[in-house]
Amino acid sequence: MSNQVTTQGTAATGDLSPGRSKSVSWWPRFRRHRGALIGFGVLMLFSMGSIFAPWIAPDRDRIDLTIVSQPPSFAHILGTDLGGRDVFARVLYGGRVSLSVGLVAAAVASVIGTLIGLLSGYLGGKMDNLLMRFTELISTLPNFFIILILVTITGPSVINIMMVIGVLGWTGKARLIRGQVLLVRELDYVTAARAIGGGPRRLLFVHILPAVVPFVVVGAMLSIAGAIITEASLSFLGLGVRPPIPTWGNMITRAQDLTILQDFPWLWLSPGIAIFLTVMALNFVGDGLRDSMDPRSKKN
Amino acid sequence: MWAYIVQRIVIMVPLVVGITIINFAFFNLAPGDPLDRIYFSNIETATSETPGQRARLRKLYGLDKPMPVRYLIWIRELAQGNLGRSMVYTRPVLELVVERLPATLELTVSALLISTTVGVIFGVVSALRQYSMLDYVLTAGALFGISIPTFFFGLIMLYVFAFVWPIFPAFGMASVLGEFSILDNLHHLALPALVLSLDGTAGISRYTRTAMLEVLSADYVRTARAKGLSDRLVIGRHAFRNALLPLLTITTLHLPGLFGGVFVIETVFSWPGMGQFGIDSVRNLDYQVLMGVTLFATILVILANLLADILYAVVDPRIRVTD
Repeated sequence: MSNQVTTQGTAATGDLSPGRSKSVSWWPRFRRHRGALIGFGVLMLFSMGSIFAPWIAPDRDRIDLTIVSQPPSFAHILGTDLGGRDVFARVLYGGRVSLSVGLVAAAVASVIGTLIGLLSGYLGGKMDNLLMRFTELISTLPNFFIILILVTITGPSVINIMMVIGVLGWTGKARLIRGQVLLVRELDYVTAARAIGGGPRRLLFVHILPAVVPFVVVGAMLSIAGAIITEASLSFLGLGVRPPIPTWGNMITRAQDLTILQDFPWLWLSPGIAIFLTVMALNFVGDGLRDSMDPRSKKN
Repeated sequence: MWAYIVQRIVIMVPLVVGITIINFAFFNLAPGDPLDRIYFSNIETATSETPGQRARLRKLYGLDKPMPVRYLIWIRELAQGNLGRSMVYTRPVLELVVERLPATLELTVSALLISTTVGVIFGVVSALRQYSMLDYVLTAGALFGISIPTFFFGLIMLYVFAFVWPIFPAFGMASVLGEFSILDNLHHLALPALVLSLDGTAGISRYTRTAMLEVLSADYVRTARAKGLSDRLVIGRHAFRNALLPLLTITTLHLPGLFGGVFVIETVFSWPGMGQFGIDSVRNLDYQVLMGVTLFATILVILANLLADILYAVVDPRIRVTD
């Protein structure tokens, strides 16, 4: 679906008026990407819901044993859990942890990956070889298992989970950015900048970095999605953020009990659908950004 | 050809050594005293601690030696096939892992087979019928596949096919009662393998679609068509083969993810393999087991990469020449 929309969108805006910088020109194309816009809307809705959770649904932890395990109704639109707590409120609050873990972990991974990719691609030679071997090493590790272990050792706090996921999630980015740097550094404008005496720091951060930013941004979108799924899996296994703080993952943990899985589906379906919609929205936005920011994807 | 294979294997050695060092460092540099985490973690042992006990235990477990020495000891034992003992099961780690490996391999290999065959078929069909209804459905399906967390999809499948419409068993590798039979085993395998394969299927079909579209617009395919070859020959002999090449890389890139999925899926479906065992060992912080499981998982990934490299060289002669 989205592909066709993009193709038409690019065709219509393909000839950008001269003089407009690349950083401005992506927006019209993004706007025509219907899936990306809907995805963006979903993300905004979920973020707002989480940020304003205390005002929308203040009773996150109020236990009410007279209304235990009720299916969705007007009073509790997503039902109540085994302690009579409102599931809707807990999903809103759960979004706070899940979304912020996604954002911070992706930011950490993007910074490390971009730096290593830039250095590796720009310096070349021995340094490049060393950095890439190190990247290969980290990417061969059983990532998820190592995350489980490190989070358990350092203690399952939100900060630790963000850091561990970020610190282990940069290898793909480093490779991608390195590849782009190898292409960009041979371009005429970089040679020109070097010829007029630009130092390495200036070349890297003023001339090369802006050219690879689209790849960093798109990669970050997919990383947020990945980190949200990783955090949810951790919490689902009971090794992530501990109750009573709700996260989308730990709300689903109870479904490991087959009676709950069978008899109270609203308890685990709502947070699961929240994760699914968020990740899908991020994928759509990532696709839309890639199509509108990367000049080479015009062809397809 | 053989020279190429030997060269690949030689490259692997420093990789394996590097990984053991990184693992060892991860477990040992993490903040906190391992004794606190393992031995003094429950109230009984923590409150009954006697004065010299800590030092004695430290000596007993070899924790009084500096880290590099401990690493060398671990490597020396590893070379003799000794991965240490589990503190929880009080049995050699190697034994415990080897017992559970077949179950996990059965699950992962089935999932990989489903991913590659179904993924390639969906991708090719999608590309050949670009912008058709079928293409939209398959593209949307792939997006669904990469967006849904494996464990959540597992729970939904369990709910639908084991409870609402109970045609598959909810847990285990075989029925508790009755003799072992392959059919019974496959019946148990179906749901977890399908769920585990979803992510790979979606990724591979997305990838194949793009690769196929690219190849279909290549000059040599146009030439083949211009020569008057039938669609079947053009697609089968000229386009498909070339689109298939990078698929090897994509498939190996999916392997670490597949092993990650195993931990969650084995828990959801109570599949008695390395994944469940690994999770339990994380809960107990059973260090020797954690090192052992990590090592096994890593070696499996490296071996798969090696296999892909070799297959690549078999399929694409250019690699042998240029390397």
